Amino acid sequence: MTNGEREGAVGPSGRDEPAAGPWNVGDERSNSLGLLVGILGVVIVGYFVVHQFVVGYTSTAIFALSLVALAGWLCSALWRRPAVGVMLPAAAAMILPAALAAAPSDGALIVPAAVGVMRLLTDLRLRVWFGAVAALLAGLLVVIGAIGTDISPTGLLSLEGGIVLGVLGGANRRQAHQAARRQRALVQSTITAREEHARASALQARQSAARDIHDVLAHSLGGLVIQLDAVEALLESGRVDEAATRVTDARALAASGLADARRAVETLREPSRRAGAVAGEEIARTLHDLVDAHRGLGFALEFTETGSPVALDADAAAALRRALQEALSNVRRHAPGQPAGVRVDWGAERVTLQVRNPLPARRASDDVPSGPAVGGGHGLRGMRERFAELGGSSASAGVREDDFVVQVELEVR
Amino acid sequence: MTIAQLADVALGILALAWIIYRQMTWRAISMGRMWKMPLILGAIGVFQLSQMKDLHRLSTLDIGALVVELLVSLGVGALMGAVAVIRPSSRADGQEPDQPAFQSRTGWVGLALWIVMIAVRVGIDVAASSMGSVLATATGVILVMIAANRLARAFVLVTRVQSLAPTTA
Repeated sequence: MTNGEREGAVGPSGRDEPAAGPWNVGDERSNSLGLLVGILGVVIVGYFVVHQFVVGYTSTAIFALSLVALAGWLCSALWRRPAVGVMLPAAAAMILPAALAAAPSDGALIVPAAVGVMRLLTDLRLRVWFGAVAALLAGLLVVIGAIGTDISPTGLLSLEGGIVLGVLGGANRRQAHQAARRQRALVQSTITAREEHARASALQARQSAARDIHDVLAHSLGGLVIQLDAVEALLESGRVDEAATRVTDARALAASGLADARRAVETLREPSRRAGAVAGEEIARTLHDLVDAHRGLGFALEFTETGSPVALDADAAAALRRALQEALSNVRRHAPGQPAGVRVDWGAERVTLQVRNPLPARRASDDVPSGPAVGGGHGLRGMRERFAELGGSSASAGVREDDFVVQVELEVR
Repeated sequence: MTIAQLADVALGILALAWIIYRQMTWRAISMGRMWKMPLILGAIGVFQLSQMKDLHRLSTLDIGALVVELLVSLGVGALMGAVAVIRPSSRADGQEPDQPAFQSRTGWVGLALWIVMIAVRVGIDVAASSMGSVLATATGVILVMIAANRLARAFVLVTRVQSLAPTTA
């Protein structure tokens, strides 16, 4: 049960690391430096071991133990990125015989024992228990190995000190590796967050593009359909002259729609060109053009304007133009027979645009076709979004008294 | 049996009862207190050892026995920390808001580990004394041993608690 708890607790930080875990912390240079130090250590300790055996200082058993330890050390020094199945036996071969032979060999073999303990503690794939148990065993084996030798008390203490050094070094490196791994995880999550942010802003840009395209297409194509319906009706009743006038109007509408679409595409392509102010007269002229186009389609419209036009941001000017465009298309679609009222108030701080039309009297039983079905409710939503993005501005649409009213307010900055 | 021996036996039984009680009840894991006790005990133990008259006569045997006892204490302490069951403290137990977030209980296994440690200690005591060790029976050694045991247990418990709740670390 406690085992299960530990598994759960340690799992995310320790065990499920891929095989390359702790090794990609250091760069190639420190790896080859480690290799050099390892081989140098094996050679120096190996020299002592052989020398002591040749002069008859150590027994054959101790010499054999020393060779096993040196083999383990060499193996773990040469083997880059060993699997746990290779690394554990190599470390065990390094630590246990070396600890046992440390005192009889006058301390030379405490080096591989300490290095082995350090390796075990450093490896993040292994839990810290492996290193701790190995260190305890090494400490005990050093004492057992000292039985029967004439090692001094200080000498024995020094040997144990070597193991302690291995433990401290291993713990230190383990923490460094853990910190490096956390750092990598942090970098990874930062990258993920950045990608998500980029995706979100791409989505926003797409929505804005969809809005612009809807506005342009709904307005000009919707107007065209109405004009062409009228042309068809006129031609059927043989009024060719009037039909020709209508066609000229339709052509003008199509041309202005095309220009509008070009402008929208251009703005989408170069968002920076949206910046900058647009002169009040220019804004007023575009509004008048829209009103004239509506009248040109044969609809009644009462236009009131108060104050004198003020300059607005390019975004705000576009929003205002699009709002009027959308409101007029809606009037044509939903209340074609009713006279619409458009009112623009140019204030010093706020510009208000109001489009109002009486609600059609008989909705359900209306046998007049409800006009081209371009839009489908996207227009008003797009308008609200556009004004919400501007800040300090608002757009609302709803029934007020007996009229349907679209009202937008823009802050002059 | 003399009165002194009886008193010793009574003290021993009392100590055992105290240990059993401590192993069987839930104890709050208090980061501060867990480190303080072993450090104080260890300091007293080292001080007592340094006051010994025949310190210069210490043999390799003394050091060996000391090292082995120390390692066994550390190992048993770490095991105690490992087998301890940890549970979150519940507010329902009528605790203060600043109470430690976790409690632990070692249970019967912990008791057995205590007995193992005492047995190893007594065994080494007897063996080393018969071989002429002067250090083995010193009171300071016992204190250092207990300190090492508690230190290892505290270390393991803290590691486990931190991996359970990284935010409280």
